[in-house]
Amino acid sequence: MKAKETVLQETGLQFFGQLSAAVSHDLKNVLSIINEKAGLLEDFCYMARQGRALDMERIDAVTAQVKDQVARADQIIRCFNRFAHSTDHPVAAVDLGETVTTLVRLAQRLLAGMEATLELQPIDPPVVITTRPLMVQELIWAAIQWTAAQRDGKKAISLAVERSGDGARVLIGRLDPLPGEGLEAVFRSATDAVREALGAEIHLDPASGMLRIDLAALAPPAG
Amino acid sequence: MDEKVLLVDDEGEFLDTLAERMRNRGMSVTTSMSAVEAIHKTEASDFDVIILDLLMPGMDGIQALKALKEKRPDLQVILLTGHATVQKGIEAMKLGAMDLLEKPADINELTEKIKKAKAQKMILVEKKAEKKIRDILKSKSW
Repeated sequence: MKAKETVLQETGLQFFGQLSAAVSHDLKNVLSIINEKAGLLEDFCYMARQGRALDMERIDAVTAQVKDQVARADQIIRCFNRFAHSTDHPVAAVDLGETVTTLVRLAQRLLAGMEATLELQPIDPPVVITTRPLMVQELIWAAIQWTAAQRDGKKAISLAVERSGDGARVLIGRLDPLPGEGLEAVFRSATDAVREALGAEIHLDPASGMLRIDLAALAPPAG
Repeated sequence: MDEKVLLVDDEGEFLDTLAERMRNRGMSVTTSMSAVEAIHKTEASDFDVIILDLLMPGMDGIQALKALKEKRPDLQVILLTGHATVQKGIEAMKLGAMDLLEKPADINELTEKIKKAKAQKMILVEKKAEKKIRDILKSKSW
């Protein structure tokens, strides 16, 4: 059996790799659009040299679309940079709302692949908790994937974050119909090492159909 | 003669712009934002070549390629991908894809591949017609 530390490193890397690959795909798509827009402007120039009148409004529109794509890429890179910095400290104070928003933005392509849309409920006031920044995202992402896998076809998943005593609670769902008995135990067992390191508990609430993750506040790092 | 192309990608802006550039080059282009819609379009119309994005929500490019080739083995498919792994390339070729191009694609390279695909399709159609004629001749006593 693998040591817990090794399991944590491996699953953490897999999660980081999965998100990084999705981001690289998104950036490739943005580059492809910019490439085609630049090509279209070249086509207009070529046609103008052949004697066709230049449509200045069309050129303005294409230029604006290029700028939109640059802004889109900038947004992706900003989110990815924030995500990458979540590995800076093993334990740190984390704004869960901000963290989950970044995660959801980065995972749009992966969610689309699962035919899932994620609706993040408003978080007010902010929920800040001392936890393991990368690992908490890994657990929430695993829960989102698990929830999406319980239903066929297109699905809308709701995600809420709230304060719970010293810790925090993340609610993901709704699961309708509820998965077979004991299935959430399989999910709990699959995320055993991460749960333990985070001091987290996972429950499926049959009344609301929500998967509930209770996160304990960890001791702040010394110094 | 115009090349009849079906372009399939879930990025609307990429789809519209590439389609416009291909039309500027004299091709007849139909677009589709999903593999399922593309399969329906191939049932309704005949295309010389299908340009298919590898990674799409729902049915992906490899699944779509499989479904298309099962129905119409003579269809010429070129895959477009943001992530050209060797493994995916081999899988696509085994399933009968004519070629695999990495995004961002060069329009001149893509145009060349479309022309080759059309020529390949014409050869297959001619062979099919020849076989049909031979079969008819064999079945008749004259």
